[in-house]
Amino acid sequence: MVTRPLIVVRVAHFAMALLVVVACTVLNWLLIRWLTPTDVAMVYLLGVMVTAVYYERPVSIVAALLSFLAFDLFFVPPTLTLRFGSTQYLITAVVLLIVGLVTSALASRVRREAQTAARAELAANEERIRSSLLASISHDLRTPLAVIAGSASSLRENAERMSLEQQNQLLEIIYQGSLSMSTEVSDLLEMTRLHTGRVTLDRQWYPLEELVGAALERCRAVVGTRAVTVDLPQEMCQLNVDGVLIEKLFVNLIENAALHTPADTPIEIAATREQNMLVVAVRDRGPGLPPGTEELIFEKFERGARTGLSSGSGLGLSICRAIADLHGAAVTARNRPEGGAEFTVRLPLERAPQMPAST
Amino acid sequence: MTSEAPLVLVVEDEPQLRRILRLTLEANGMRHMEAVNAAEAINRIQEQRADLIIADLGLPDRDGIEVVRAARALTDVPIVVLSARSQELDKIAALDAGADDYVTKPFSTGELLARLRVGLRHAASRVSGTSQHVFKVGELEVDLLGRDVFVRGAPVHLTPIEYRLLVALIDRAGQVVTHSELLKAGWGHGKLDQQHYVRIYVTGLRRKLELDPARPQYLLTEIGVGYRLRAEL
Repeated sequence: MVTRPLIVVRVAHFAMALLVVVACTVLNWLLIRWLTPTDVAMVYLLGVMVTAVYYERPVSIVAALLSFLAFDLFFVPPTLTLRFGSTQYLITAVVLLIVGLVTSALASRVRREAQTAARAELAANEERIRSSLLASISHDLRTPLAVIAGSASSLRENAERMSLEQQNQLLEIIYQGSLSMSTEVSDLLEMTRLHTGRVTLDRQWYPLEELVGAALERCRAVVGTRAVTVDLPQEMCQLNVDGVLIEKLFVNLIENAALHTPADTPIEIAATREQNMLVVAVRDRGPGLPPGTEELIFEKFERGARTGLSSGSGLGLSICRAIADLHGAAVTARNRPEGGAEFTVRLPLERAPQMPAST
Repeated sequence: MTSEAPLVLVVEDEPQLRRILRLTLEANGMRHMEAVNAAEAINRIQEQRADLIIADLGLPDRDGIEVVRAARALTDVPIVVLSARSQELDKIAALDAGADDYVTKPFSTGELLARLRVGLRHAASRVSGTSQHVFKVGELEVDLLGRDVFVRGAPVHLTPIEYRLLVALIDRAGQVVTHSELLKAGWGHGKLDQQHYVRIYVTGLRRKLELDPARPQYLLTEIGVGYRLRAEL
């Protein structure tokens, strides 16, 4: 165990020790009429103990010495003189010093143990994230990679024996596989960025219509030809948000709905005002969530076991949660009584800025 | 533009990407030359006139945005940059430096070619000094001389600001137009803290022009960057 050299201990700690001794002295001074000399020493003892609990050994030694000096100077007659020669109160000085040393030794051991425990927990936590990250990377990146490499080698070796149609199928598989890997990598980076707290929100005023419209445009390919209904409040709703991130949140919810439901089922997007909240719901008509997993699906790397239809990184929903948290918003999921899943985002509504008179 | 196949300068340090671009450009009847870093790119632009430049923003020797700026100082040919997703600030910086448009990696070559053609078309009409007097996409028709706007044949009334924004988007149809460019077009200044003016007016425009304003067909949002008016459906 490394002990910190005296000079490194912050000056502020010594100042606190001095302050404690001064406080004890003032207290004794005020109460002197009712105190015996032993009581006076006890008050100093308390001060030394308190100092020793919170600060390192050098500070408690200083507190003990200062306490003894103050005791000797102000309370041992004749007052305002130091009488080092007397053995009468030597015992007081020694006890103060011992209490200071023992207490600070005990306290620093407790502190060290707490630190070690916290470090161990942090390390365990990091280790857990790292291993699930590795598991996720190895599964989610290696699967499409295997598909891509397999298709490409098949094309390279067998192209002349294949019909154009078969060749095109393999090419399509390669293309889709590479796109899904690309999404995967972006999600991993996004997740890391959001969770290491290196994100500063670029908050601006966005009409809800624009955010939903932009998200739907980006989901065009995933959504395909299925019916999508959009039901937004008629009056213009403005949100003070980071548009890029909130678009990402909506994209992930829409993609999630599209990836986990059969291709011919509809998706609904509806928004309503509730007091000073805007509630945006993305609803599907798929198989719904397994009961009891409504919270779990927002955890990192939790892959939807909803159907066999699932693909995607299992990061999408935890990215939604992280983005919502950054905005003071809430994202939740539930099964609809009439069947299918519903994901809800509750965003705080603030007073939108006034526009200048229109020309 | 000459009748010759357009000459495209590809500024890209990654050899495989250069190869894909070369194959794609050749397959689509374009000639090409290459530069693997910023210094070489600038030399190339000085030596020989390209009709179009594709520049990757991530180059080994210098920031791709500097290439855009240097290129723009030398030539007014269209510049399309390649950038990664979630780098909206880089995209805006590239556009401010003089790029005409960008394509987000990983891009489909179809998307890239569409952007190149739009760039070449705008350059051609700039050179010949001719511009269309009627803009038409889908069921949206704008008569730029008469200042009339029609949707599905029916006249639509726009406010002066809405009309100025629409014209700015038509001038660059098919290309992204940034918020600050639209602020300048609509209000005569580019104060960035007033970007929400643009968003509100564009939302208003969509309500007048689009069948379903929450699922626009014509006026697309490039979130964090600006807007793109589709040149063709």
